[in-house]
Amino acid sequence: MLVIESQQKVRGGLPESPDTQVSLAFPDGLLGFETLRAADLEAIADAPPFCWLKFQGDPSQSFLVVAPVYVTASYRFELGSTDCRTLNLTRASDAGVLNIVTLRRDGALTVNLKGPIVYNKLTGEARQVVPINAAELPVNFPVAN
Amino acid sequence: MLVLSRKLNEAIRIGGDISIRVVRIDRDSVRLGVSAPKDIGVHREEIYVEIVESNIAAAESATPEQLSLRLQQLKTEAAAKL
Repeated sequence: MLVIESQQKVRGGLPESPDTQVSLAFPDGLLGFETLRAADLEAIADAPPFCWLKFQGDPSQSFLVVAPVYVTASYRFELGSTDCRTLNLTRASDAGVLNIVTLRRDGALTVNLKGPIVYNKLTGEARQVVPINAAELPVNFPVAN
Repeated sequence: MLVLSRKLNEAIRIGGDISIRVVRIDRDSVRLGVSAPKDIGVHREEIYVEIVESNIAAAESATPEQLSLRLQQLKTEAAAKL
């Protein structure tokens, strides 16, 4: 088990500018979108630190994502051993974390902290995980202005 | 799907180290005790459903253009507050 905290420096592995992109492999897809396998992570020039997670082969399948450190200072989750093995993670410092953002009908932006995307910064392997402590994490955490 | 009948205080075992025991039976609910290694995630089904529904909502909530526009609006609103 690894404990991941939002205070950790997670920017490593993220694209620093719109001119660069990081490729992530999702062998299991996203929950509910299991056929999506490979994605490019692209920085958004006029809205940092948000990024686009664009799945290859289906340009319409894009998710707005953000690293949790920019949303909350108190995010902490426990990554189970199966997830650690699948991602070949032995150190929390090798793990990058992204959370999917939703635009609500009232214009509010919320972030899913319950089902984070964890990726190995060294290999680009990624997986949407259900943390061991998922029950205590919000699925619609509001993004403050 | 394997379906097993269990009575109060009886259990099923999954693999060598996961045990699920019936600890209470009420009229319309059953309370289960799960013994599993600490690093095995044991979640209610609703948690998975919640995440799947959140993903679908995120994928369908707006186009990239609409999201970009909303991010710009938030940025402008934040700047105006300063």
